Amino acid sequence: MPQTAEDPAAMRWHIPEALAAWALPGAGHFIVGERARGVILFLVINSLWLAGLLVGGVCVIDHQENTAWFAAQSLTGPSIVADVYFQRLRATSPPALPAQSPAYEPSFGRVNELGILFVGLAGLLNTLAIIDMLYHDPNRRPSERNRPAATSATT
Amino acid sequence: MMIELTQNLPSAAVQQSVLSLAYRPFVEPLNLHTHWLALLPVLAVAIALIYKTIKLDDLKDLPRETAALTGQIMLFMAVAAAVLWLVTELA
Repeated sequence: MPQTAEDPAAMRWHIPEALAAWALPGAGHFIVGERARGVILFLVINSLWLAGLLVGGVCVIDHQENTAWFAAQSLTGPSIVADVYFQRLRATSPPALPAQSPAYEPSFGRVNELGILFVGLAGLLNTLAIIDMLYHDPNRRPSERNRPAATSATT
Repeated sequence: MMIELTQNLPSAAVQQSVLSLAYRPFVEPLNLHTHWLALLPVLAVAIALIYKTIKLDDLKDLPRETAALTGQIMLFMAVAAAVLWLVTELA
């Protein structure tokens, strides 16, 4: 028989875990003991985020040029770091001379759109994970850590 | 007019330097301009997998549920594309 939601300590907002989920997708679920779920979220969200950078280059995360998309992209913590890196790259790079390599190569067209979309969707999907972590109810979905104890309590 | 056009074109040295740039992953974009459509199924699978990972109480059903949702997303994308194509062709 499943436990009822009577434990006040369990029925709280999980703000530190939600912050961990923002900083590193999947970390929140891993911390509360849902390790399989955390590992899947970590692998898929970060793969999506990295795929966006791989396809479109680092310029797809740009709070100056793509402000609205950056709002979605910043829902994963690593996007903030990537944006700071890109702004520094753009500010410190001199205009490329014919004999020089430019500091970065901007992407255009579909490649740019897909890169922005991939990173933006990684952020939006991570929002689902953050909300799930914020309102985490251990009685609805027993974590892997608690599952053996709950099973032994019922037997 | 012809002289102005040729003056605006990059020189052979510039073209050579651009072509010889070393590719840096995650900094330079990939040249997928002709294969971008192949990335949409990947996107659909990722969306379905993340959504179902959060939604399902038991991860045992994850592969089947993910496959079903991926199929639905792909189907509705195809239907939306067909409808939009018809609208633009008939209008």
